[in-house]
Amino acid sequence: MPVCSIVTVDNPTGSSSFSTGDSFTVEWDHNSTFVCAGWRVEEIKLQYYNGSTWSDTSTLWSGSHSVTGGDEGIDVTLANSYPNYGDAYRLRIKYDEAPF
Amino acid sequence: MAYKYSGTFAITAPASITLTGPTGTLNVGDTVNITWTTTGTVGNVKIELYYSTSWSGTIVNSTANDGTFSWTIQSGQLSGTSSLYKLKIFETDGAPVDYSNFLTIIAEIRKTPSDSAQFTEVVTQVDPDDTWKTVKQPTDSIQFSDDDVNFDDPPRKWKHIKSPTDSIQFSEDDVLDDKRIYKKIRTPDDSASFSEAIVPLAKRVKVPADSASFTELVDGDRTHWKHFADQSDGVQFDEDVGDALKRPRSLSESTGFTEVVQGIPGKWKHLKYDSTSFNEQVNNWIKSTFNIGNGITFPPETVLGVPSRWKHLKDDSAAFTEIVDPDTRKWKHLKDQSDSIQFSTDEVIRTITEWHHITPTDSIQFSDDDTDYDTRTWKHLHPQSDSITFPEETVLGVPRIWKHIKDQDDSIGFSELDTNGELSMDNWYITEWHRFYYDSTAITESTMDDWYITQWHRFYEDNIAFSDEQVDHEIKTWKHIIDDVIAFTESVSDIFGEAPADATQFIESVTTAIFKSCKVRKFSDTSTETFGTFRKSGWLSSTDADGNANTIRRLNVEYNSADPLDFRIYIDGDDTNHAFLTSFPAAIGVETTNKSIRVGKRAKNFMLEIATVESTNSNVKIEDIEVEIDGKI
Repeated sequence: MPVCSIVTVDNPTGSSSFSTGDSFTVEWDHNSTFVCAGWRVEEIKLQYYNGSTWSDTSTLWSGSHSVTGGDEGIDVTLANSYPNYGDAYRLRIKYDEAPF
Repeated sequence: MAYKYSGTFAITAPASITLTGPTGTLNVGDTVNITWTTTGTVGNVKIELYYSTSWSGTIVNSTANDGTFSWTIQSGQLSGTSSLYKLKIFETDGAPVDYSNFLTIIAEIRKTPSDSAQFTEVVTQVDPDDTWKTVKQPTDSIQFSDDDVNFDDPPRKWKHIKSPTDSIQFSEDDVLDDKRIYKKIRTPDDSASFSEAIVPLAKRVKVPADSASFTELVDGDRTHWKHFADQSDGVQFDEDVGDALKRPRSLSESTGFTEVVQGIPGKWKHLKYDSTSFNEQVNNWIKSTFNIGNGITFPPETVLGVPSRWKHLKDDSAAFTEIVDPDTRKWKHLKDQSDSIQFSTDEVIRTITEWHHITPTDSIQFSDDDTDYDTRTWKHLHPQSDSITFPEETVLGVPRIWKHIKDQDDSIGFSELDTNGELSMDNWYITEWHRFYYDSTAITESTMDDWYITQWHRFYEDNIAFSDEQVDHEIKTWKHIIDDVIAFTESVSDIFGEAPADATQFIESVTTAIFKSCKVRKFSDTSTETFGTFRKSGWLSSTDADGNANTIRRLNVEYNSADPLDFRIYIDGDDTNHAFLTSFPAAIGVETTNKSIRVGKRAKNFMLEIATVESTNSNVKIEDIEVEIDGKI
């Protein structure tokens, strides 16, 4: 059972809209407690829904970001163009859940 | 490794604009369509005419970004005939911008003699070298100068046919005496003889009520009006203004629009005064407000693979503002936040039992892993009117018994993990059920020192009875609440002398409680005492067989007294400070009166005192005094 996990992604939300080249901060809420010190976000991918499946579009960020280390957000920047446009995008946040 | 997904959001294409027409050579007076395409979000556009690199004129200050604009080339916009004209188009706020290729515009209409073939009447009187002149009204008319006319050959009928639909005939003698009457004919056949003056080009006299915001009047077939209040909310009506305007008020009526916005079929923007019914229809997914009647339970089909797992907790209808991709089952209910349910996308995908209900006032919140661990955190907060009874299958652990109190003002709270992820009540187990009286604060551990974790409580009015299986420890004491006071120190049978009317609902019989009654003193039926300053007292042991303190349960007195009788009870050797005081009222004329009162004090020994009675007529007859105690034999 992941005691340390991201509960909700606060930004972007379902009503967000961005233009190509925009930068924004990916924000989330987590349920971590003191026992979760050290768990990290490792990757943020942009995914596109083509009407039937989700597929990766690009990796907006990768690295190691401590969830409980202070800032609970990661700045990302969209590319200047994409093959598709519209409200069919989402982000996939990959994180290393603590082994609790 | 774990993944979390954001909500679905939009990425809009970068804004751009490209002029696509007209091209080639144009003539003053021509009406041509300026055409363009855009990508991304582009609002109303402005179109200008440039001569070489210099501004030459504004064609339109603001027009809808609908891809076309009808332009009648005015001589005032030109800087003479040139092949260096360019059109510039840009969004009214300045960007994006595009320029056309060079255009050739002929600023004057010059007809050569070869054009004369189009004249329906002879023009042989015109010398091939004569000068042709343009006039301003009608726009495309040509007036011949005096010199062009052979005055000796009246009547002078001059005709210039620019095109079959745009021909103009001049009447007689118009050149010399300023009685120029212009006529416009529509077909060559009409050109043979004109008898009436041409009236100015018809202008519409009827405009919509909000015509002030119209910036353009389209006079093609007189059936289309464009309304560009601010170039961002253009509405195009498909009927003549003389008729009732068609102004779509809902998505279903949107077919009344004759054009689409930005060339995207089905995407309409209507943002002005009557836009309440919709904002936008987007391809593929629907963003709109609609109601689901009085929906209470979503059908099983709502959730793929998770039948009947959607719940709607309120009687009123749900107004979902958004449905996003049924496969990801994301429903938002944002009516007024008081009774909403919000399911996040990924919880449902991961574990079917993960439900999130995030409204604070009326919510049920299920924790992530409640079905797998003994750290099940359940919260059920006020009110109860929209309650749900969970099936046993909801919980895989033990015990799988879930109770719910319907229509009560109070609630059931389950113990929970504190913020450190530990049980905040260490001595409590997951089988503990706590009922809070009128939503009072949770009973803390400290207030329940004498309680055991297996104690189950029955409430007098709420009729909650727990089964035997829930009481699996050695102390199977049933508690009872009288008059909404939590008093768990007495057995039902001893208080009432018999089982309460609803005792049958107790699963475990109250007869298993181990109490006894003990009479500590009894006067003879004939004893009579005169009370002046009277005190009957004596210490009595009330310990049980194990030496534990007993509860002094009840004081019962049969008496006949003209004055109230005061009784005090001292406990555990303290004969100065009484632990209990009661007063029985006067019972004049009553031969024997059986009065009893609950005491409810614990003591290993106690003393009953018949306190001082101040009376001038104190003829008190104590028939019997009985003190009941309970304890293990």
